Amino acid sequence: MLTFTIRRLLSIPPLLFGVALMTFLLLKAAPADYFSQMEFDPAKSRASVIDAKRAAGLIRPVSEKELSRLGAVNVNGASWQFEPGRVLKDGTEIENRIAAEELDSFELRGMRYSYDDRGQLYLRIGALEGFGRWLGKVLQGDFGRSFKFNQPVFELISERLLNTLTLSIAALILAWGTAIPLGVIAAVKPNSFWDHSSGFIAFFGLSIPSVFFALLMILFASYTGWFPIGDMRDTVNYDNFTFWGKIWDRLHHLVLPTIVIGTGAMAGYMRQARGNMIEALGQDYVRTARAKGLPREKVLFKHALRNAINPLVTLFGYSLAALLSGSFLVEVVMNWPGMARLVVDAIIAKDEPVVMASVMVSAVLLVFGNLFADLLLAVVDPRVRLS
Amino acid sequence: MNASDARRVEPIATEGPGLPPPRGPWKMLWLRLRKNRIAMTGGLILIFLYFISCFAGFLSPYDFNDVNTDTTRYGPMLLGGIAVEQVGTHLVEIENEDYEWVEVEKPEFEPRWEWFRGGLTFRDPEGRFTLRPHVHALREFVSYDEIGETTYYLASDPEVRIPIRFLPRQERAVEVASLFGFFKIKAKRKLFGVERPAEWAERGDDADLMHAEVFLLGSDQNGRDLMTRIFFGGQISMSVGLLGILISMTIGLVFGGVAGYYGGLTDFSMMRLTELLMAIPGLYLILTLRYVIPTKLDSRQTYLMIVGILALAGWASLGRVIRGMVLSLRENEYTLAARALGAGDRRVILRHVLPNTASFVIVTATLYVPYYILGEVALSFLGLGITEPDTSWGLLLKDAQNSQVLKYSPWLILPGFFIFFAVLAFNFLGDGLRDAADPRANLSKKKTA
Amino acid sequence: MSRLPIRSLLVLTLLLVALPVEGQRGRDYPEPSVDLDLPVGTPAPAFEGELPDPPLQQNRTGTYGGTLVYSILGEVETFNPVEPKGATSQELRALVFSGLVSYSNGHWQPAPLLAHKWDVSEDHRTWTFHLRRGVRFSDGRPLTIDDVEFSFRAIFHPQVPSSIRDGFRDEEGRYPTMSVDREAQTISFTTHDVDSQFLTHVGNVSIVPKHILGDHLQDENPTILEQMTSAADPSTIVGCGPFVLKSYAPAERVVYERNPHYWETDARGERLPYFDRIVIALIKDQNLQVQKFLAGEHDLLDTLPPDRYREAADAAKGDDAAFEVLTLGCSLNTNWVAFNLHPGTNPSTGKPFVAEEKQHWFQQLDFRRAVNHAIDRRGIVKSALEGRGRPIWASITPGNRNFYCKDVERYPHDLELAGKLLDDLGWKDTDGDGFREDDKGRKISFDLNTNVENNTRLQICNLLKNDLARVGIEVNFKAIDFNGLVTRLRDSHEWDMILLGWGSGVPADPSNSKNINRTSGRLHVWYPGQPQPSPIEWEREVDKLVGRLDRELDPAVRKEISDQIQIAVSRHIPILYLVASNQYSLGKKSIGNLWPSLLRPSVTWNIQELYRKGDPGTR
Repeated sequence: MLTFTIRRLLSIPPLLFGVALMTFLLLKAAPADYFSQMEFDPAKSRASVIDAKRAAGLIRPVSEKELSRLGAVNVNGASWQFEPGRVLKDGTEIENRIAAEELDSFELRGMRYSYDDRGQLYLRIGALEGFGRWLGKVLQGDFGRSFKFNQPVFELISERLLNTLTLSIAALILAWGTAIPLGVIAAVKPNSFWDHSSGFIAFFGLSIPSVFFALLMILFASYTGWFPIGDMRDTVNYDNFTFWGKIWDRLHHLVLPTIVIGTGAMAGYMRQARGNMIEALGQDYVRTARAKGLPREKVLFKHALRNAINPLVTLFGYSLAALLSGSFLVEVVMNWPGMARLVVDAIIAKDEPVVMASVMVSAVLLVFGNLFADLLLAVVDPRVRLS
Repeated sequence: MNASDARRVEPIATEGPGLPPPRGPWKMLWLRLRKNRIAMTGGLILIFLYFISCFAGFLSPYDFNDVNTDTTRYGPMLLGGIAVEQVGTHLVEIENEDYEWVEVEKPEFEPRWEWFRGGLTFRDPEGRFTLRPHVHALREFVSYDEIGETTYYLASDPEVRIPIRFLPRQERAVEVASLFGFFKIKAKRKLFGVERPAEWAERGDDADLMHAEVFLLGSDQNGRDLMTRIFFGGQISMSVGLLGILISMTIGLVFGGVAGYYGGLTDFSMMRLTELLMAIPGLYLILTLRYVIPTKLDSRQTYLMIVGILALAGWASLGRVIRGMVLSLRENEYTLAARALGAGDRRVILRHVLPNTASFVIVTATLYVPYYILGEVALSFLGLGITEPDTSWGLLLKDAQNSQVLKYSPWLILPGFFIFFAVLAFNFLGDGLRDAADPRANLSKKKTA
Repeated sequence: MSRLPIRSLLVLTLLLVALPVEGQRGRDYPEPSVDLDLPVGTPAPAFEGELPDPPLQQNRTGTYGGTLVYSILGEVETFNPVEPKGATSQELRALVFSGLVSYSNGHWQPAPLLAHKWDVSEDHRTWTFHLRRGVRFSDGRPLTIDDVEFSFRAIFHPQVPSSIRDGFRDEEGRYPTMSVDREAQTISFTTHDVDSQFLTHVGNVSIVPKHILGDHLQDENPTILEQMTSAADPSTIVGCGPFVLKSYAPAERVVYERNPHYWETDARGERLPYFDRIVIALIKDQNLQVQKFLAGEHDLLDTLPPDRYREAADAAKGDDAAFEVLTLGCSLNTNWVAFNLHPGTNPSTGKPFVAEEKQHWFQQLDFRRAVNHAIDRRGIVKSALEGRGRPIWASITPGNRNFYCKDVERYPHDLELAGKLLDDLGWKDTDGDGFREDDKGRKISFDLNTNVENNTRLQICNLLKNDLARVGIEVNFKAIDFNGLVTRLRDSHEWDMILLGWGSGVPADPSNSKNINRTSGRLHVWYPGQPQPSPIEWEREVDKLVGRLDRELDPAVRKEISDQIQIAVSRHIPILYLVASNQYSLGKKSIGNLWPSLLRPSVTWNIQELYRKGDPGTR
């Protein structure tokens, strides 16, 4: 088991490298960047957009040497030539500022150049070069600052990560806590009222789109007043609550989102638990145990259930994968201050440092989650040998 | 809900006097499935949903994007209609034709839903009972509240009825049937529709405010028939799953098959690739991929790309499971025998290994389809899935995502029910298939037989 | 309320509907009244220190105490006032920081704040601001002219990417020179050109404490923007605004407390603000924001989307309703479509940005007129805006009480006229497919893009597609993400027709949109990056007018120039303004001194004057 663990651990760094490279290239493959939206603000000048892009490391100034290597280029029907210290338009020298206004931003041989108002030309940094820079910084322990929030990404992620984990783990507990008992009961008493009603809940949870379920829950909360309308804790008075008051407040807020996420996940596990249990109950050793005259409960819990649970452990390992992103839509609709919301916004807005850092965090969690599940399986099921 | 209860499956006698010779495995699967009522219900629902989406063009009275700004948000005529009553007048300030602001007296109306009145009716224009269904004419009302804000209401005119015409002739050939919007068959007929009565022209200005429409399931905020939108939306929503699973299953089979069969370095590198894909949370992967799609593609191509993305994010786990199966099948007696007989690798994989994964493939496929359907809903909610003017159930549901719609136009959540039942049906059917294909069910059956 | 028989009612409605109704203009709310008998209450925390000289007295009365709760859509990007990035950060900045000059959204005019007065020289180029003496920061340290100078130096620092600095740049890229008189506590600026918007730009600069940020304005790589971020310790965020930051929970809420050193006073000489505490909920989903207000959790809602009016108005009916709908009239924000009139070619591929035939159509003024006449703006208002909006014909909507021009060219919905215009161009449907072909037999068909995030725009696009199909023009409508759209607009120029909107800043002055109308402007969408001077005659004229508008201080003349610009654009319609929605806010009836304004933030702009009626201690 030790060698297995070590081998698995060794395979993690190349995997993370692959994940990082792939994510970065995908992010860069989209045409826009974070500052595109800034360009559409009439109040912002070209210079401030360029400054912001440069500060973020998305573009770099082009040196005069590189400029003159461009040679003569044809933009907007005129021929342009860059020489050290001057720009020629159709052979005549032109003021840098005017050139900047007329050329603005253009693409040449797959590279995008932009002018700021001062007449300085910049080049958009390519995907591989950008990745190299990112990796170099990361190896020194610097994951960069968010473009949007201008603060170190891990400061940004850590608190929200905790919020998302709270919600996901609560949902996980709800899902597993109800799935196994319901599944077992359904298997032990097939076709009973319990079997049918748990099956109904399972199929319901599986079939309703979670955004819609979340909306219905919000409306339910606002019509009955029994539950808070979204949020993770009381907006106004939370700080004034006592310790127990805070815990109660958080639990109260946790109920509805947990139900929304948990029900969907529960259905799958429950069907699995039921199937496994039915299978286990049909096995020879269970029959033998029954034939020996062992009490029914003992047979059920000691022989059948233990064997039925083993395959679920693997499933549990996979369910860890959904911990971080599974709650996303619910986070948006129910205003849960979680990480998935942050990351999805970051992906949409192309806030690269945030996306990269959070994908790395998720990947690490996921890899260790799977490793944990494998080890757990080896512990609970003596038949499994890890090598 | 006992779909997976293996013990309930009735044993089928395969031998015995007077019985036909033993049937093939597919036949057996079908026979067992047929006994499972819930699975069959699921199957029937699916057949219905696929039917309406394939014949959406013929069954629906409009085209999927027939916007009409005069007929917005009318309730489902199948269930009733809307009546208005005047509740008062207000002095409000508005701009007149000379662009000057003047104070004018304006009425305020209040709409009221009436069950089974004002919608579909079996009385003809003269008020006599008839077998031909009629609908009431719709009339526009502009209501002003005390602060001068306007609200447009549509109400039925109880006096004016319009006959529904069957197989009406269309001006142009329209789509009547298609396979998920791809292989279109065109004709000049639709199943039913209404025409604006010619005599309305004599009514003068009044006629501008009157409309002849048939909205069996209501109309949306752009005055389009919801039923038409749902039927056409099915073309996308019901095919997302099939196409998606087809793509991911194909990749998974090829990948898992090759990796499992050859082992060694091939296996190692292929498995690392799947791990790579699985190490990025699915949603993040889908979103980053979504932004890579070129924006110049037309809607059909975008749709295919979205399906492709969903499939790309979903095949890795399938591939791993199939690899595991292939690994064990590779060592089976009949595979070894085939190889001993000198069969080539390709033949062994295609003829001996992969066919044995068939039951797994079918069951998994059925159970994975909902993932694609719900994936499309989630993407559409984010505005990254199907976009206007196209239609899909996810997009339609997105339009219903606020409390005002739920309060005043609740029929707009109908697409949600279609999603719900489609997913439910796939789960029912998948469960039933799994039971029917379960080898252990075979085992127990043989024992009892 | 008896039900009228339908028949008699018809006649009535007929008369009323036949009237062409355009819609509303801005609605002005009166200044809140003063009630000297209101109980004063006790502020907690209490005020400290002396009043400045001269004091700043507002004509308001109110009662101390209580917590004001409202929500903001979005997230706090930073608390740093030097570069407040998004709209949310800008709005929150005003709670904690003050500038020399403020802008009164209620009066639509600038008002003194930290500067008690300002002078302008004869040539209108030198502005001198006189600082109030004795103002203190929230940590009790005095605010002097050194802090003011430091704040402006931070803005003008070349390595601080600040969009506030942009306002001060003139067309040649020059910034004003600055001089300080420590004795008189004044700061003067001399601009190279007359700048009509100078007060606005000065008002945009928040005065920050030099004793806290002084070490972070290094010559190379200044770290000033890394201070006071959203991760900063609240006690380090020191300002001179009415409130101080108390706590911040990302994506949840921001809590403010009264700044005990705040220095504005009310009509009775009592110090502002009235509220002890402000809690701002940060919400991502608009549906939830409305839902939470309707459930009574919040006191104010700055923007109620028009498609939620009906629900809110129903809930506000009756005398016992806890809140009211504040109708502000026609919004200042516009929706428009523009044609790509860029005649250039893509240097990478050598192909024209706009295909030759499309260029041929778009450049025809009569074609653009026909399109304009074909658009049913009232239909758009009716369905996409649920009747709550109005057609517009220029970038300045009737909501703008200072600059609305009603003499612009209008293009009423007229299918016959549109058809005739196209017929006269010789573009007719020759192959019977329902769409016209141009004089060279090419089917008139082009793309229309908008951003996918905005549901109203998607609906408008869909209606346009339908409207244009009725005159035989095929429009392929496709929504793409906003960033992708901007990339097309700015970089690749490969688009045909685009639908977007302009938001309005504060103040709503036409000079703020010079980036749009000027041919060298970054957002001259229809033909950016023109050779200078512009080869197009009327655009050259507009360029001159925009320049004059920048340098003119007389309001009457400025209105005149602004009208000319709008009329010129409406005659040549490179950009077709479509509709503007109405704007609404919601406010609890228990909140006093509400003075809603079309200018955003609509209800919280005078937050230091708001108070809770009755017994404020209840919340």
